[in-house]
Amino acid sequence: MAPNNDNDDDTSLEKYNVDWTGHYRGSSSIVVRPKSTEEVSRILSYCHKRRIGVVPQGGNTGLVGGSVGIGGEVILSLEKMNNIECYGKKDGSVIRADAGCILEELQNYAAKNGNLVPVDLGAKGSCQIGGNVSTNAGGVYYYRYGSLHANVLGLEVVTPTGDVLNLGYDPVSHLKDNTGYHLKHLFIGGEGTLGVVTKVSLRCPPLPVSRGAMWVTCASLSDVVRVLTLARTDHLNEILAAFEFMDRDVLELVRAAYPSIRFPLDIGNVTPATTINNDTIIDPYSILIETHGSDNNHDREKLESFFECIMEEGLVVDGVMAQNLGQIEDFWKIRELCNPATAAMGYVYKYDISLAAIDFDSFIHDMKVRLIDASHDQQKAASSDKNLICGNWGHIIDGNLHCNIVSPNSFERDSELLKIIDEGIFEEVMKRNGSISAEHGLGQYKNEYMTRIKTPSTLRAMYDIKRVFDPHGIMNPGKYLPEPSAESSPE
Amino acid sequence: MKVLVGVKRVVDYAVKVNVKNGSVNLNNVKMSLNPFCEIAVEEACRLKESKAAEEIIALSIGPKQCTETLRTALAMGCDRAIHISTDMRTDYMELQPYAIAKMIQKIVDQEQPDLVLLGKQGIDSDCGQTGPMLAGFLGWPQITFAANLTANDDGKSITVERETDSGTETIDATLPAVVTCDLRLNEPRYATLPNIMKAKKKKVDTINADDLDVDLKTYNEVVEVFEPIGRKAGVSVDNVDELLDKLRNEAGVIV
Repeated sequence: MAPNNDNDDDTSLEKYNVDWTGHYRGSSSIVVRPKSTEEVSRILSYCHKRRIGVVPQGGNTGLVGGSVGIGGEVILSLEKMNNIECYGKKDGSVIRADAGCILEELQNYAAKNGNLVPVDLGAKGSCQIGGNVSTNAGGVYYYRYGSLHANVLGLEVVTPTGDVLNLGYDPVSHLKDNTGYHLKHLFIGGEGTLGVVTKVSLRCPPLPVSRGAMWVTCASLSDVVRVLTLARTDHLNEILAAFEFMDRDVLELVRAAYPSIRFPLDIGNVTPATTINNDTIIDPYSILIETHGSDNNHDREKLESFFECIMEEGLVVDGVMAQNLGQIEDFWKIRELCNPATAAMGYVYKYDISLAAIDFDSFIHDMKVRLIDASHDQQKAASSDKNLICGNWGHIIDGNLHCNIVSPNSFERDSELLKIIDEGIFEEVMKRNGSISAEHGLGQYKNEYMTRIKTPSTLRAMYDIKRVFDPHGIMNPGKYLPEPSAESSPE
Repeated sequence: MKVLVGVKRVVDYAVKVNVKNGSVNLNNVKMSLNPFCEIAVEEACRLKESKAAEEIIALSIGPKQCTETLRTALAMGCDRAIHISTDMRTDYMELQPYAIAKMIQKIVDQEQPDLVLLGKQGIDSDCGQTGPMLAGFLGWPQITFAANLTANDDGKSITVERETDSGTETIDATLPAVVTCDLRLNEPRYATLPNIMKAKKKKVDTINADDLDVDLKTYNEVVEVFEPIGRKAGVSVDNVDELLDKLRNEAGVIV
């Protein structure tokens, strides 16, 4: 087996060994880039026989270190497997693609056929559909179109022994198939610990004929939650596609990292009292709402009457409504810059948690109190000036909060601080019956929490499943499941 | 000064259009304010905010849905609107710049504005003829491709920078005048929701195009509309010899 039998592009290992965050680094000396399922199968059975660890890798855009090695595993990159096949050209409602297809290319392909890929996220330009499936990626339209568990019709996967499993992938997936154990669900969000997803078949809804968007600001998170409730129930209901919130702290970071970005409320009709250096003071909370429907006039009327209602109830400070599709993209651009902006400003302690929307406010407040205490202790210890910034945004409609703690101008991880924050987050999330990973998964960052959040019998069942598919434990070792303890390990 | 600003309703620039029955398919396609007209509206609003203009009238020609487009202009800051109603297509298929300019001339006669601000072109027909024709009919100065506009203190003239292939020209013009707006003139504001609400109460007068006593005939015949032929995917070649072979025998660009 030649480690790299093509000579077309960059073969430096750096990009395979370091993930997007730069927080996780492996030391693999071999990357294989198979071009077919057959090659994946041969690679895995080779590694299985020789007990060589394998890390399946997509776009390397994960945020929990799941896609790079912890040691010298073989990296199995799917990037050369990127064919798209569309099925049902008339309705195009099923798209089948190789795991290595870039999400955005898949979206563009579907759009040409009048369809929407039901998953969308900021990393769409580099993440791959196989990685999306393996990590059960959520994204901004999760509320409207559902999770990948709902939208993946079929998968082709290769298990460590080299067996190719056809889990409803071939022939063209039926929309309904209720036969046998639904094994595909083990690989959706399995983070490559049971095998490698090589092909994906997805249900795609029709592209919305009408898209609308508004950007409104609120003075408090409780107002945001009331706006959310009104949007979801009485007003936007069936056309509501996305509802994202961003707090002032993260938007200040976006402004600092990308000074040329124009905020929707920066220009026009700004009273002088609310500007500093020609910049508007950012209101405490900003909301981006998108609608998908089939009639532009209908949706526009709904958005306007919705705004009238929330304005009358005094829930919003101000707002703008996109007048064309370009403005919708402008709004999203700001939302999508939240993540890179935090990374540009310093080391980011990243958290992706699930809570009831009404608990966001107290959670953020309590975390900020903890951070002030932590900074205080740190200052005493290191006598350095650390003003940690806690920037928050997320899919509040799914109860999904991205809480990002940035140490400005310091790009090194502070292990002491990490421990303090990790523990603080964990306690505050558990107190509110939340989840410590809403959509980012476990990887090598959060796997050790599993013993604290799953019962021993649940964990045992997970180890049992792992052993069935991967008896030698070669797949993505050291991640997802914690190291087995005495009572949970097999006898 | 009183400003008349042209507001064309066109297929949204982010929409990938397709051709159906010999013309661009407009059925259930997102329509928006022409981006160059949006710049004209923004410039008019800035003139008003700087007290150079007292009143801005937005004018649109097309089907009844043009009132939505006018609402956008009103929400951005125009004071009132005039809608010339017609079911003829405005993307060159039926109504063409000559008739459009003639209709605008009628409104100019009626409203007596000091300045007419138009987009430099509609992104659907890409003609760029309406502004110059209108100036010709009126016998007014015309400044096309404006990249900067200053209303002079005398209240009777404007100074406009216009972009040309050989550089920027600065032109003084006496009012009344016709100015067409280019991309770099300004960055249009977003329509705020409170202003969208206020815009609903602003006046929109509708006039039937047939009542304007203008020749609406389509003089230039559109022979064919077709989608651009897609670019063929590239191929990798293994070596220089293969490249030369393809250039010689497939592409025929070398001998």
